[in-house]
Amino acid sequence: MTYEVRIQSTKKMKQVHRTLYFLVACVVCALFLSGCTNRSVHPAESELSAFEQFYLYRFKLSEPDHIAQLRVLYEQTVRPKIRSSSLAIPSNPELLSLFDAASIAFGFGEGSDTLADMAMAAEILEQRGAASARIWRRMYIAHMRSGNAVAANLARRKYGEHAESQTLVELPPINESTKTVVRTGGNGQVILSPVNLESGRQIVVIAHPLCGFSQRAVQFLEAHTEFSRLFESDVLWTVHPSSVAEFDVIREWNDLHPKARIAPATNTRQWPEIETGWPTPSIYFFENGQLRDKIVGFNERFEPDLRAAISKFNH
Amino acid sequence: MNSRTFVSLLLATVLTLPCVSSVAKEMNSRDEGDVALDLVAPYVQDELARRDIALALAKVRSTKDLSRLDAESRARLDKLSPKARARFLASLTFSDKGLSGFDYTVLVDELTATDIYRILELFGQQHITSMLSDVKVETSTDRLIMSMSKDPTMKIRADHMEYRCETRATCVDSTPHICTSNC
Repeated sequence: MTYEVRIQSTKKMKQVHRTLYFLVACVVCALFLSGCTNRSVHPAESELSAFEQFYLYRFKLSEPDHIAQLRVLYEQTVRPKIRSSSLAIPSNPELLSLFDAASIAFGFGEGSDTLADMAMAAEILEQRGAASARIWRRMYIAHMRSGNAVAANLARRKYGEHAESQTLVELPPINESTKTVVRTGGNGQVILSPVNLESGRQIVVIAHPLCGFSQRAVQFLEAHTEFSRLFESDVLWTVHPSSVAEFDVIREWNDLHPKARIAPATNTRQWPEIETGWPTPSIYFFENGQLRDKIVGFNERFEPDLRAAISKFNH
Repeated sequence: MNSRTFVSLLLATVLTLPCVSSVAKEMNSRDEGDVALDLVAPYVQDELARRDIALALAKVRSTKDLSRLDAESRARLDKLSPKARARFLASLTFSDKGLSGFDYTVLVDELTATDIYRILELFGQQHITSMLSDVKVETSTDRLIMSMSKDPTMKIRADHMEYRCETRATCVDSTPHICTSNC
């Protein structure tokens, strides 16, 4: 009798345990299903165009064929949409996305057909009242890079209509067939000056006022007299053309570092010697137009490499 | 282990899971070179300290952290349209210090200064908000956030627009991105 009661009691305990396990499993499942646990916020790739997916997930400047792949993808998937007769159909966010894709594609090669795509999308956004200041800032930069100062200044005016204040500088006529930089002039004006690297020995320093590594590099160079060569008047301190829209910070830098005054280039086409993307900081050594040496990045190799490059350059 | 202990352990694990991600923060000491510029002014040091603290307390410092966001943090991101949200999340790049780059245009196109600030706060990069151009300013808080850019301490900023973090310590020109000082 006692034995039977014990068996029944053990069976009951087992049933209770099974029920408990079942309940715990249900609670865990319910927590996951109801979203009480932390859900992933990974982006839905389906929301992105093929161009965006490639550019955001796979594109690497260091991969030699990626720029070509990006161009092909642009021509196959973005341009047809922008030039389609049904352009009125895309929503404003879609059109903004197409504009950004054109702007990215323009950055690699400065093609006039891509600039036309950008202009087309910008105009439609403007007609719809959906063009923000950033659209016209991009158009200002793109027109300058294509050598059209008149169009750049028109974009500047549009920018002024949308922005809280006008921060873009009025551009004088641009000679797009030579290397040219935009220098700060008096009264908030700018002047363009041609750059000739074809004769003699020339040094070009690429630095950006808001790049922490450029800031550290210039401080390091200023503190070491052995590198004073980089502050002589014949050395060009320049930066990627897109920085023409940031003359306020360029002026700040130039006031802080009067011997390392930065002047943005007007385009990238005339500067094939400079690495794509114009990494900052970097230093290029030219002799009779030929690139002899270059130093890219402010890392542990910067000081010894620069010392060696200057020594070689001076002999 | 008896069944009671097993059940207790299981419940404890389930209930503490959401808390674990927000606890794993470590102070990220900025190396001397980063704070070298203009250190003569104490307010600059204060601003840099504030940025370091924001970074140390950031909820998201890696891709992994993104998958552990709580509901309140996700709600901040949900202010973006699905497409803009997808583009913003896909654009995020991280270094061992934290957020090293992102596409700012989707934020500027769709959100106010306060909403942008609250999203960048997740990454400890809220100071970047006032550096963005063309941000929508609708409330007094928006105005307050954007007024920070007129502060002289902003001269020490080292996050640049139209660049993206290509490799460690190397920012390259890239239209819709910002390369942060964490690159």
